[in-house]
Amino acid sequence: LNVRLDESVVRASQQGNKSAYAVLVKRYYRHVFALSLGVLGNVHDAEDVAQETMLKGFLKINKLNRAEQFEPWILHIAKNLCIDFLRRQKRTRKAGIEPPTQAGHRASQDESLQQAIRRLPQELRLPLTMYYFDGRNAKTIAEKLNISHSGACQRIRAARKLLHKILTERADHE
Amino acid sequence: MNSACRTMKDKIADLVTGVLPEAHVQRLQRHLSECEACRDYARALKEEDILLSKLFEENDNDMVRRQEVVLKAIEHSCQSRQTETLSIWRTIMKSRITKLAAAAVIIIAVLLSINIWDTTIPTASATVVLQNAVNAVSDLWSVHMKARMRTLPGDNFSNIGLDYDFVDIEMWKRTNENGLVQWRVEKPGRVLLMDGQSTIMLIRPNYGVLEDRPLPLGCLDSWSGLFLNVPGLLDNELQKAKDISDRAISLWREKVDGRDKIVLNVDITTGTPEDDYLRNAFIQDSDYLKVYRFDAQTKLLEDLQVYVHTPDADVLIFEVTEIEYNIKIDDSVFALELPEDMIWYKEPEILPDNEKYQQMGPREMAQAFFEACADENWDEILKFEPFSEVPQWLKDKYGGLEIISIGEPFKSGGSSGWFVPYEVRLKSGRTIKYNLAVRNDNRAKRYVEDGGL
Repeated sequence: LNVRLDESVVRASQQGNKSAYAVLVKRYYRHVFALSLGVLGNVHDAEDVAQETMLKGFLKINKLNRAEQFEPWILHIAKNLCIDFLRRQKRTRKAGIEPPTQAGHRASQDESLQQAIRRLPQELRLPLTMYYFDGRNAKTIAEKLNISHSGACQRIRAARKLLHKILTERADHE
Repeated sequence: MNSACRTMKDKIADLVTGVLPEAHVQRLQRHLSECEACRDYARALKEEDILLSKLFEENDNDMVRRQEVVLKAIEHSCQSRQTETLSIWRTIMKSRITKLAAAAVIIIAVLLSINIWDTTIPTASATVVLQNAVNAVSDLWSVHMKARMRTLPGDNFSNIGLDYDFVDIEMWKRTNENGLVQWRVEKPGRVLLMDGQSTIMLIRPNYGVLEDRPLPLGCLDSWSGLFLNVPGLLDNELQKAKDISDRAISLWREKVDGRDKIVLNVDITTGTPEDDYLRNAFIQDSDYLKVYRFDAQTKLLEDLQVYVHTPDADVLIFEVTEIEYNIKIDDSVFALELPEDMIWYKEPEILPDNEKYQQMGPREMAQAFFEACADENWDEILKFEPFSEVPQWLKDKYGGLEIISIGEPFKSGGSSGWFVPYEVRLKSGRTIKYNLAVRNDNRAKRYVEDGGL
């Protein structure tokens, strides 16, 4: 529905117009952030990758041939940058540098929930995050992840069930 | 928990996430009424669902700040790129050979008309563009616009629906040689005409509002009519552009069919909460983007689109498809033939027992209104209607109904009235569950129906 508007904005951005690209940032940053958060499971990492994605999008927008394809294009960049980020993180861990933990600190309800979400496998965490960010619309998630509608519903269902299991186990341990 | 419960777990998760087909809901509800373990499971998932919604909502609240950070990073990156360009220039200027080579590259580039250093097309500021556009229509004496809008054909002019089909809208305005202003705004089910003396709204087939004085464009909820006053519209944008930051307004050039256009985006944020009843049901209660296109040569407004922002996409809701300036408009456009059986809007009068009705709150009024419908007591109904007589369609549809429930009234959007949830069963057996709009900002100070039937 917003194809014509996007085409015009992308064309202007390709001519180096920052105001036009700001329109794209305002419109698509949310989706890029949701995807990054879904893959990485951490707000700060997602912010870093989402920023890098939008910046890379600005620098490389001349390579986008079909202006109406901006959204899948920028989400593809975000996904690749997430994969690079995870690879880097894995290497850091192998080198013995562990990310800081909050040992000894009793997690708040929000922290427990965030930790439980992080424990979900990525293929479930991503649709779950997008579901709560994208107005609870399984159809939109299916389109963005290029999977069937029933596939999206299945993953959201599995994510919810597993999340409940993780939270229940945690409560039992405490 | 038995084997049936294991299957039900999937359905409970689907119910909580809103993807369970309607056909399965009843079966699941039956099971839940019999199985305590599944009830506990459903309750736990619902509680987690609320926590998840809250958590992601909190993340979402910070989105504007994050976008600001990104835009600053882009700005910084552009400055760095300019510094790099300067460094290259200094390197070039170091030796005669590099100077000659650079000169050759520049000459070739100029010959080929390629701008290799900067692809930005210079754009004037929004205020200059708008001032030029205002000047371009300073001698405007007539305008004719064709547009399309996602709205219901007979509903208010500002009514919108993201899933509605487009409805054609046509609008005319002229100022004659004596300075008499006339205008007409029309969609299939509704016409609003100001003939210079009076203002008439016809809601087809036979409802009407008549004011014995010329009202301005935008009156009687004629939102799209505001676009007809092109100089006023652009001047209004100009004044706002002087006050607001460049984030709400953006500007660039584009080429369409070989002609340069200047595109101006204006973002409108209303602050209506995401879950408000009227949001995205009326344009003034929605966040939207206006996209103006001006011809770079003539500076005339040539195109206008309005997109409503939703979390998922920007939905085109209104689009001017044709604008004609300074054309002769036939006199017949500013005349309106009315049906003989017109029912006119009437300001509620002060009744002999007005106090009784004045004391009713929105809920009591809705209760009394539907009870009168149930009894087919049309004299009583007329006390809750702002019309000269009860419309036949209301009698046919709501006469003899059965009240199922009347809910708690609520406020919404910029409306001065209340919305009362109701559920009624019609004589036909059909059930209607909706919200009755009521307001009491009239001289009789009693609530009357204002939509929602």
